[in-house]
Amino acid sequence: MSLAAAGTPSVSSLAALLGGRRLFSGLAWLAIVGTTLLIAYPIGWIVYDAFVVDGRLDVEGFLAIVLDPAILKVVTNTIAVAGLSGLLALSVGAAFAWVNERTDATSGWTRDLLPLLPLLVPQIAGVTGWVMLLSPRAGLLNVQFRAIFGSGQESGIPSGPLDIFTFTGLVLVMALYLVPYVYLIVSAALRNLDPNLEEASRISGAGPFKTLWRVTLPAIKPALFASILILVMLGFAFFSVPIIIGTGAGIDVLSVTIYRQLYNYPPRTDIAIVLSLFMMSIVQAALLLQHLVARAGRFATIGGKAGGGAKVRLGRWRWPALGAVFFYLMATSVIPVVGLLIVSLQPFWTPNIDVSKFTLANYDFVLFESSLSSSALVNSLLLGAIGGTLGMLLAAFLALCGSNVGGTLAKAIDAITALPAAFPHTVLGVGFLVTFSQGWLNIHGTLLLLLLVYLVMFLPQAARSASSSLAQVGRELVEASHVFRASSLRTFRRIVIPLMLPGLVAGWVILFVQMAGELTASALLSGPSNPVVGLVLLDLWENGSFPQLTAMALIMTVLDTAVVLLVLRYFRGALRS
Amino acid sequence: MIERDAGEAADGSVQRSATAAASVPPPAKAALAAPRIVVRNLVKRFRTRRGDVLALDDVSLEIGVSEKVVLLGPSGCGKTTLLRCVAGLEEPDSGEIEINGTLVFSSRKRVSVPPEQRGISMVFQSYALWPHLTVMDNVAYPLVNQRVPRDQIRQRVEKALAMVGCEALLQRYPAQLSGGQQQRVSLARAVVGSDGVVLFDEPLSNVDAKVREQLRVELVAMQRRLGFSALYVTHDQTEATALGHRIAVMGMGKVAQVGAPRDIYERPCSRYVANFVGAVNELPGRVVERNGLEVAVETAVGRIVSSNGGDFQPGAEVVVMVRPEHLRFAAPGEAAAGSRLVGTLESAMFLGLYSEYPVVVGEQRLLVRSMQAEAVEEGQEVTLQFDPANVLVFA
Repeated sequence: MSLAAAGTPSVSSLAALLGGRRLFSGLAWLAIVGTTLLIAYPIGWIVYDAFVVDGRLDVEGFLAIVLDPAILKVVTNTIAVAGLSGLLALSVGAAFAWVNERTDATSGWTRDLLPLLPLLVPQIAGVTGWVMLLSPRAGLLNVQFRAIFGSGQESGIPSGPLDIFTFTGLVLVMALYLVPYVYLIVSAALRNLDPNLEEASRISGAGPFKTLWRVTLPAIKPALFASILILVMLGFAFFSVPIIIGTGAGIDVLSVTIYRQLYNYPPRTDIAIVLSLFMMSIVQAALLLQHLVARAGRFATIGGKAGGGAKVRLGRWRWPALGAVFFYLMATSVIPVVGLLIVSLQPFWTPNIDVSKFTLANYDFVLFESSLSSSALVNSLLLGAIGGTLGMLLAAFLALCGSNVGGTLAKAIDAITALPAAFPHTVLGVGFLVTFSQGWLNIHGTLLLLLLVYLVMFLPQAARSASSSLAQVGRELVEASHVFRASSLRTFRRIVIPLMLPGLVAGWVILFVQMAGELTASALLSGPSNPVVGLVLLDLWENGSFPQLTAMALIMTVLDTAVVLLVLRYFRGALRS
Repeated sequence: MIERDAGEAADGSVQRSATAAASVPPPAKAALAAPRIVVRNLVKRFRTRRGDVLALDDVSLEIGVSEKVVLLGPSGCGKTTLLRCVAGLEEPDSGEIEINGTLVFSSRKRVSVPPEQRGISMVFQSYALWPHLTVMDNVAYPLVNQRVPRDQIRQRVEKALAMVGCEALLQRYPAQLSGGQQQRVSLARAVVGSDGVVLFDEPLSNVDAKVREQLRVELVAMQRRLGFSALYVTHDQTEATALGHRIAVMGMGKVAQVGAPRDIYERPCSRYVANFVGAVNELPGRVVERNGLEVAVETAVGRIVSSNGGDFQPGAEVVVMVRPEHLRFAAPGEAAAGSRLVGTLESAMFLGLYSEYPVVVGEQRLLVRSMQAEAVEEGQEVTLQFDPANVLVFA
């Protein structure tokens, strides 16, 4: 009884929900312990496997692998690719954020679409689309360029002028998919930054660019650090772009090497484990560094209402800025889709477009003929829908617990929902592969295994969506419902759930799209008995079945887009912010 | 279901709901005997990192039928905590609360009735209209929860909205309304299914000044018409004196004084209350003479006589208080009566309804308020006239 008075005023209102406090927090603890085990057990197993040989601590095996020149080459490749693409993504993403939030080179739709559009086309589909356009010989764009400039005809086989299978190509395409993460963080920071600070600088005689340099950028430093952290974590673990472009260019990175060590003959599980451990330590180091920087704490958190301050006039730079944003949006959506579309309609991949030879045979193959690809489509959609629903329910439940029970439980919930973000997806995939294919835990080759790993991987994202949608439910709105004689259950059903719903639905869409198009962990955990779209796309790529690959990628794009648009239709504005 | 029982337990059959009460005349005098809300020895502590804060320190209060009691005080005085304890949104540490004759909280008897079963309604500071429901659904919410038949709901909602002049907004969503409209709808929701007790949590502090004055007048009229009992929280002294039958001035978790607005204003029981209700001039000094209830106090700027000496004996350290509107300028050649101080007029400020004149006397600045234009000029020497009846003395 007196527990209720622990200083949180909202305790009395929602706490009685779901059959009382004890059941409520009991279930929450169960979810927390379950999630912890799902992370700690596989990761612990990897660490154990890497360092303990025959029951003794053994570092030699680990060092031998890490110091192997071939592996060192992979590590330097990874650092170079992740570093350069990260740097590029940071500058472009931050620039886009500034342009959209602070200058006159913006429009409502670019602001809304920028973070959303790259979600619609699954990464592997986008990458293959670009390959269809820019591969040196048969690339559709290269053929057009050759026709226009008449170059590349000198040698026997026509090639160039552009080549996607290069270091530059790899970095550029990776950056393309890293930009939205930076954009989201930086634009949110700019939106929270009181424009009066910048206006004061302008009035004190600094021009717009000096203001940007001296006031805006220093003020959003924490957001820039957060972006760098996420770039390191994603860049080192990036899989979809390197497996396609990196392999073609002969540039191997960590994530691809781990995959190859496990699936090439003979499989070298030990090397894969050591490499994932290495990848994990880089990410942990980045997290630690960020923690130290954040703790140095010279950054004031900037509150204040962003009341639409005066926009910076870009003058003659306005159109180039708008053009850059527009080109970026096209590059992540329409351009690769055009490449996919043309190749998917051809009997085989040829740069010579002949409309009379267009055929739907590839779609027929993917949808009906091949049982692998058709069941992969069904599986991916099911996993996306079930995983998205379970993930959001779990996250919403934990968010409600956290806000109503408080204390240790709330802290534990915060910690556990953030934890999976500290582990690269490749590492989680390897961990699950090793632990869940032996003994009584053997669920290898089942959809359940994929569902579990997806839930763990995307828990941080689900938790963020859930807590921001819970923030939509003001305390007084819940109290008012109680005062006006609604029981706890009724308040939950009539007030809390409807108010949270748009946010939860937005979270569901993001989970669905990511789970249905997941590649990194699926490449390791999916197989002929539990195929998913990511794996089938990868197989088709490795076999060189490009027309079928593009048809499959396009079908997935259409399905994703349809789901997102459908949800947007019924929950207008659900995906804003 | 339970609030029905509560209503019957209160007084048999009277006041089923505010809308029912709307058509009947104000309650008979006999009904006044049983108070609507009784608060007994309420204590509430908040545990913070810097130790416990006593938000309510043994507070007792009664609110009669059709009576409006205003809780007035600065932020942090415990007034909102008291209101939220009555509503059931906060659980006190000890004490008892009765609403409509039913015990809804008692630490001793381990009774704690949840808010939805207390048979109250409330107007929130932030309006608290549910953004996903239309005005119609918002106002119908309490009726739906009381299982009122469907055909009656619409009729009663329309009636309640008509009372606040918002009948045209039925199908709108809260986000499409102005602040004033939102608070009117929130009022309609509070009275539509009320069992005769309405709680107000600073309802006018979020609307702008013009609308606030308007709503204040409408609130008084509405309460008179529907006859509900109200517990009203505000930090605005004008609102308190305008709306309350009685005012409870709160400070540091205690009720400092309860009384009719005029009593509180004219006969505050402490320096704290006097300061919070209206402006005062304060002069510290020592009692030098006593004659019946009349005392003479020697202050740094001169001797001041008061006829409200209480039981202060000569030698006691006291503070003398005079409200600015009780000070006046002595006309040249006027016979001396009561105490007088001579000072220099610092400035004359015209404030519309009245003018303010700061006067420097020695090291002190005293404020004079007057409804008329006084024939004094800045920098001029003026004589201040004190009426002993209006001079208050506090420890």
